[in-house]
Amino acid sequence: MATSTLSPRGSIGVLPRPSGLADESYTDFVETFRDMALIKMFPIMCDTGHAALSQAGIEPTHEVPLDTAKAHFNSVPLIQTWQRFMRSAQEMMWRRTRASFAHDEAAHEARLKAFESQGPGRLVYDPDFHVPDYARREIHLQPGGYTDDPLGGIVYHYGTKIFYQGMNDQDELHAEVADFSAVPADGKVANVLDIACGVGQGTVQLKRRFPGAEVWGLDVGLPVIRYAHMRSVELGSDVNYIQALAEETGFDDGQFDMVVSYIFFHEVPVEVMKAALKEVHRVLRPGGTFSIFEFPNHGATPLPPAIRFMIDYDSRDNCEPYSPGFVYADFRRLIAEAGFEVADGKQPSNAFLQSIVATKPA
Amino acid sequence: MSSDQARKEPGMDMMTTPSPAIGEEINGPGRAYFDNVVTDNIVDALIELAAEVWTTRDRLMVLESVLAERGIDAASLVEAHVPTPEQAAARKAMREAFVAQVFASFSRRTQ
Repeated sequence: MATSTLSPRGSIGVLPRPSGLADESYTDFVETFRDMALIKMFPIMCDTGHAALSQAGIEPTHEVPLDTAKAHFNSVPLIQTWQRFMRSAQEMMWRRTRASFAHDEAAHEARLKAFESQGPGRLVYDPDFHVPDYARREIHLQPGGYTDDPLGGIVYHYGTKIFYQGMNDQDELHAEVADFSAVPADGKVANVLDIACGVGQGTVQLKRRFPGAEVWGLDVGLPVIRYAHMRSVELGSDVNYIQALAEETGFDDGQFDMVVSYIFFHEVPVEVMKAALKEVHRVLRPGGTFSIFEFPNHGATPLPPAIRFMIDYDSRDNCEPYSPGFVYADFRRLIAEAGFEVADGKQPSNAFLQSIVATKPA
Repeated sequence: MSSDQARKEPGMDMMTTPSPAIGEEINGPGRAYFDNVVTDNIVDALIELAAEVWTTRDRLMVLESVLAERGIDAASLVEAHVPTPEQAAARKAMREAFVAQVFASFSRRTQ
């Protein structure tokens, strides 16, 4: 597979390299620093915060109000430092990644444009498409988010390489999602839809698993699907992309045998989440399956103060404005209310995620 | 499915919040976590410095490896090097950019 046009310094397998060695070294540092803050410091942060509550005579149970937990946590120097580290690392990641790929922005745009009319696969978008305001957030602090930065596709791709700490450089996690997605009971898979497909890492993997199927990737962000299309063409993968909303896809009733979503629902408001579930139900044929790989959803399950503090931090300071609404919603009940039969799906190796299979009754 | 297919507005109330300018999150006032914002600035600078130290160390390792593969003893040559005025001016400009990057925090959050 050839991916040489994605970056002037070539590629690391299917991942573009930053435009300079200094950018790659810098972002490597951020990846390692982030690992220290996110993985190694996090349990210490939790223990320290709970100890602060105990020292104040408050038992660190799920009954502690969030504001009380925040007041005590935020007074602890280590937790102040942890938040500083997390925020700074995220800012540095996006700042340097974007600067690296903006080095030759005009040439990148020319490549994107040239690939628009090339196949295999089609790129479908309406220049007058209206992106709803709820989607125009700088999710994870990415400049322009998924929708407003022409460089958003390649910046997202390399930025998330740092986010995944090297575990997804060759789309390994997306390959697993494609392999673990549920096939309808009758085994018929002719049409597959990947909603909120981003840069198409999962879409390409679905085509690999179902080479005879027509596979579509759908996303609200034009920058990400333009990049996804270019990347898929270079990989020789015959998949189609469309700019559309998960809650209003424009596809026909019963068009798809399988629909897949990967870490999508926590990034939209609850009302959009409900509308998207109904829309997926509409475009699935009877007996079709909807495989959902998503953030954990706690519903009414009690959570310790440190976890609620972390969710609150992530929402406020990592631009995840909708994740608390998702995390505390009764997601499985909402899926059932959309008309699906709900069951556990195959658990991916990323144990943080939950896996759900929603089947449209035959 | 066609590219000119008509679409209707979702019409949901939560969709009316203004969108941020590109890069507002990473280039705006950001966040402060310590009681004194100067502490936030110092920690930011510390992380930036660490990133730059690593970036330079990484490049030196690559450079020395590349040169060694060609039989060049870079360490001795570097110690003996004397810059021209043009080289010195270029290094000064790069040094100024370096200082601006490392200490950007102190101008970003001022109170």
